[in-house]
Amino acid sequence: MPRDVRRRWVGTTLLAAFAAVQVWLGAGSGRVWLERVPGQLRGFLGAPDAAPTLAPEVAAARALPRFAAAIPERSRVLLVTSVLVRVQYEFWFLPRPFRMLLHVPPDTLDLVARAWPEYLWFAAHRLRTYAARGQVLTEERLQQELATTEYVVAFAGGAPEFDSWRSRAGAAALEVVLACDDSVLYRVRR
Amino acid sequence: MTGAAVAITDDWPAALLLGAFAHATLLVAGVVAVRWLDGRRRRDAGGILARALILGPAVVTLQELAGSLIGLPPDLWWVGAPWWAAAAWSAWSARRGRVVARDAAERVRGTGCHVAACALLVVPCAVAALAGAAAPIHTGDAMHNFALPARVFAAYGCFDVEALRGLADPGNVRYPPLLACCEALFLRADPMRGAWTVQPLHACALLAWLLLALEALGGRRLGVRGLAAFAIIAAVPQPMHNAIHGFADLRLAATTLLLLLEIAAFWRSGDARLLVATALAAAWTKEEGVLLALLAAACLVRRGVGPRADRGRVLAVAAGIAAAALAWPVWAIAHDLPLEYAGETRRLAAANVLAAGAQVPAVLTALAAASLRPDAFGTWPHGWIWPFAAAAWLCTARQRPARWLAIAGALHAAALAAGIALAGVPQVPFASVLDATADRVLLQLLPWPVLLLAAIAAPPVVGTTLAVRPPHPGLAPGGGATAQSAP
Repeated sequence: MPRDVRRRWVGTTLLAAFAAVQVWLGAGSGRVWLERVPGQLRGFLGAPDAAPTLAPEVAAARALPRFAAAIPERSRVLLVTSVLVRVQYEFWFLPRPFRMLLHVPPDTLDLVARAWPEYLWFAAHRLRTYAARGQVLTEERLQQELATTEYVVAFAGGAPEFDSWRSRAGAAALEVVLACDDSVLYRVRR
Repeated sequence: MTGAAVAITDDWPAALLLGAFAHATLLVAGVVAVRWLDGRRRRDAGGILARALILGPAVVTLQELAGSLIGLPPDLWWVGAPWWAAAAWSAWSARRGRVVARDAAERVRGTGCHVAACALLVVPCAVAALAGAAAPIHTGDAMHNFALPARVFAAYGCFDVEALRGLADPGNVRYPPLLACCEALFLRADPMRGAWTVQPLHACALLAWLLLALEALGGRRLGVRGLAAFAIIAAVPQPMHNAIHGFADLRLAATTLLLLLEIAAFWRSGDARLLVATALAAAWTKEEGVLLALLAAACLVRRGVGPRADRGRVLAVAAGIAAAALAWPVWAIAHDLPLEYAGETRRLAAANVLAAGAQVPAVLTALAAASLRPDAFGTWPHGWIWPFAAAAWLCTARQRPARWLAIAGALHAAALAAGIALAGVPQVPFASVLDATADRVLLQLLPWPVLLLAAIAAPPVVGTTLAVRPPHPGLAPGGGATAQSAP
């Protein structure tokens, strides 16, 4: 075999082997992704109460579309949750008028300082913003909102005081409409 | 209690059909736009598909924004109707006129390289489409940056300023509108299941990225060296991860690669129409894309300054690109839309850029660490491609195109770093911010190593497109007729 032909064959073989090794190694990443698919589908589409522990975003994607489907388009919605969970709840409820009240544990900034010290300033900035916009959950604010809202979502048990406060809600009584995992949709009865 | 489970699990076939129709509409819009912008230029199916996947969302965005100005909401039916009608008319005309058959010399027979390249192309896209569609939009940048504004656009029929300002948690509603407008189509068609059916949009970006890389490496004339280079590119983990997570960086990287290829084609032929459309797609995809659009405008001006050029027209088009690219940020600032890291951070932004300059060693360390760090599953290091790109550059360092590629890539990296410092988080050490975003910065820079690899694997492509002086300076709308776009 002439020398240049031999060199071409050797080069081609080496390159093809190189490409094959990459494909074989790269397939690992794809395989891991595909192995997650059934679990993800079960997590998002499984029946309510089937998933005991969920990331808050997953819990929101499971529960909130179900709740939204039960709320008329023009009804006012109030969502109560914890500041430690950041989910774009409003995505599931627009164009309904939407309000959000956040339970802020007293040691929030200490928690952030321990876990993510570099983002402490950001947490403080968010807390200031929520406070300035009147989104921090207090009993008075809850009563005010209940006077005008028609549906209440208690998301993922994020506000421990909510149950005791809502029992003192006076004229506004909350009737359970739906539950999904540990989130509950209430209708305000007047 | 399971009563409302029907809200999600019922009517899936109808939702999937609507989603497929919306994806097809974006693609058809892209094909129509590419055919129109290409003029009489011949292009292979891969080239058309790649451009359609990038430009389709851009032209639909333009259509939706124009529609919202006259009160038309982003309904799939009116958005799709003109594109489907144009496609039908085009197909009817082609059938009647019978396009001239290709010369036998232009036909390239499929080889083992093409089969292998197809496998390298299809498998990652299929994995990204399946894994991405296994979850709806629910978190991260995909939610904060595009899905929330998309919901506002779908619900109110426009980017209602009061609604954006009044969101309980505004996220990043200043984000450029391309992905939000596209997602609004899906959310308008099916408010609940649209969050699922929109997900393959990002796998389409991966397909465009790989098709464009393949085109740079020789396209239909792909050889063994090109195949090996394509295997390296297809094995980089960031694009597939990005497609699955639904971030915009991959779409911007694909748009950047298309922009670079179109700059080369423009330099050769003088036809700027596709370049202009690509520049606008970049500017509307992500903030960093504004920089790329301005680069395209600068290229137009540079190319147009010559004795035979129609300077007035060139400058007008360049000014139009710059104006369209800057229109969204100016609109967002003028309406004081909320910014995620607002308040004191703006005042410190300039100081942060200067501070970043003093942190060059830390920045380089962060980038190197990110390059060596394995991906989420420990299979590939993020910087997998860079040693190959460096080797390619060393092999071609004496050639003018490769030198320019390296310089332009370095400038792009510096501009991205400055942009992160400017728009990022001043209170956090710059190296930490970079560490958190390095994999996405590296992804945005990927077009450069792709072109460097192409300089070795397919020298005629990069060599002729970047080194040869243009024969006809100035803009020439019909001038692309003789240009061979796909190598």
